[in-house]
Amino acid sequence: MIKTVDLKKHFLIGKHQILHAVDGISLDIAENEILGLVGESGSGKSTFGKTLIGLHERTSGEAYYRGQPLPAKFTAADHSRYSTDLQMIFQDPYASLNPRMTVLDIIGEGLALKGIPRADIQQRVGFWLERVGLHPDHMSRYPHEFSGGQRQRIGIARAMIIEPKFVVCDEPISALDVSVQAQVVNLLQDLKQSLGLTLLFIAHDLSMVRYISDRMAVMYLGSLVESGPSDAVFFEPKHPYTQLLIASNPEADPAIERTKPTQHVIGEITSPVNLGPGCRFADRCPKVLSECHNVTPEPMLIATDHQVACHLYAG
Amino acid sequence: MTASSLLAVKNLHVEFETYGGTVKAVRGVDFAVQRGEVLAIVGESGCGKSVTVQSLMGLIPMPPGKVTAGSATLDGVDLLTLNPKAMNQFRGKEMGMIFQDPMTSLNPTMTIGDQIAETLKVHRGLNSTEALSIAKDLLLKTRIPEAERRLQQYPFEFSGGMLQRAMIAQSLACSPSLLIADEPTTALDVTIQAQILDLLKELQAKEDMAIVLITHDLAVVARTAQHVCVMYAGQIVEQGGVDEIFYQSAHPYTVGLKLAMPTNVSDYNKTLNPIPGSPPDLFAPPTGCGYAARCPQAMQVCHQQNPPLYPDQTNPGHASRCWLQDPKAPNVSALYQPNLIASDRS
Repeated sequence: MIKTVDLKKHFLIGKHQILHAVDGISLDIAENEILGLVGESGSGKSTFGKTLIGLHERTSGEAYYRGQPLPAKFTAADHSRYSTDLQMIFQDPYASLNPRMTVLDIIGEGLALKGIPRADIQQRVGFWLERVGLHPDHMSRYPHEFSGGQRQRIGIARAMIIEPKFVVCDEPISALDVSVQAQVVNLLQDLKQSLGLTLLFIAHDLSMVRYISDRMAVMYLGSLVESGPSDAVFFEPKHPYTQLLIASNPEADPAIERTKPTQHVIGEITSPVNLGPGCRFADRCPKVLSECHNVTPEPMLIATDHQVACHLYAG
Repeated sequence: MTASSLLAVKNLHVEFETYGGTVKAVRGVDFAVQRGEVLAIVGESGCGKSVTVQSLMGLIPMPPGKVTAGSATLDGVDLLTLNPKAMNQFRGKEMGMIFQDPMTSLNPTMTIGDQIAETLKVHRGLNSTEALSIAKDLLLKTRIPEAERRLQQYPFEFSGGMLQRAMIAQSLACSPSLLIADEPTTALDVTIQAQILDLLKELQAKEDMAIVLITHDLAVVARTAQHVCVMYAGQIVEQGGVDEIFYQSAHPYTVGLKLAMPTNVSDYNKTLNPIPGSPPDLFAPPTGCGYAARCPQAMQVCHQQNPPLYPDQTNPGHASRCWLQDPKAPNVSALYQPNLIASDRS
């Protein structure tokens, strides 16, 4: 449904410095699937999601939606054309809702732009408020009257009322408490099934991503290191970076945690500014080979639908 | 609880005066920390976990805050009655604290070296040269590479993980017997979180230091703590050893938290069970159990009276604030335990 080929987004910082935020991502997202995208902060997950739906201009590469190429730079006409199909849910439910607009205006804005009469908008907003577990009476209130979890539902209703086909969820649960996270995750899964939605679910909570996604992709410094069915990536990670990420993920089970060896990970994510060739993870990799520093590994298929970009699996 | 406890908090009540009324943020909290152990206080936003430890450190702005009742003794010193001057001498020396956001907790206009050295100069009366040389050892102890160069740098030149290490180094400067860590890894990536938690555990063992770890993440608790207090609506609803909390949960809220989290078991049919509703309004806390309105097992008495803390008959130290533990209550063996038991998984 969504396909990207060698998608790149570079930011120019200063005169000669280039920040390689997204550096050649080729990815397919199938109809009605949830693709989980994980990686550390600064790995380019959010930039990828935003570039995909035209919130950033692409530097190079291609993106397709149902076979049609998406423009590199969205014009106002492109935005209004694609916004009915491509939507986004943002991370921070406190910053992404206009505090001076009522819930009705926030959720109904997309419909109002299409020239739908106000009475119809009210009725649809009421329906969606109920659908996301709020009350239709809430539509005359302002964002500050709601808790974090409720605001996130307003953000979901705003994206869903357009009846999009593809939604980028950028860390939709990171700001929420555990008990509320489960409410939002269940709602997203329910919407996926009942509306036939396709979701790109960006998060850093590996357990939650494994739980919600059909497939999982791991990013490191702007490039894709591994992708495949969620359970395969989570339980049999192949790329040394994925292995490190999974091993660092704590589990809510003291007996399991006691048996885990303490591992001292080398260093931290490096800067994505002015990157040269070679594997991005080479400096931190415990299994580094000599070619890793000079030759960029190409993604290769190691099992059905399971791709990894690492020299360890070459030949 | 016992006379040898390093820190003993008894019946702590903290309130805040606001325009909207009085918020009863902490409503009678009792716990004890033994020397050299890690105690985790776990709970959701607004449950009073941070207010509890901030009141121990004397960091609650008064007014609007007010400790209305209770006592807290660290090594025989009552923390709640110390005057500000005595508190300043005590804080940083006998107990250290690290915060959630290292970027905003350090002074951006001072070098890292000077900030660590300041602690040593104030509390141990060292001169600058001595203090800086100890500061360098502290950075090495927290595994900051190139310590010599790092001492001269400002906080903006550090990454989040490195800043958290620097803050740990600073809090260790006077070898405190108690370190309070308020969500120390919440702002960090999972790989850096693992490094910091391992570092804390290592230092705790090496320095024989007790740690009170405030977190909302049960997985962090499972990785780090020996003892756990679960807080809800300003009260401790369950406390005990980490295994009792995870495998023999006695309070429906603890069970609810576990059911709301995904387990790392390959099982496509499992659904997450969110806790319906939201925590009570602490302007007017309910007369009954704070959790009753959301509790699937709530009985009539739960809405009327707040339950006492019932000790677990078989496991000393494990206790829960739930009417289901009363001898007159119906059989609670049916209290659903999610499949978080190690033997269930393979």
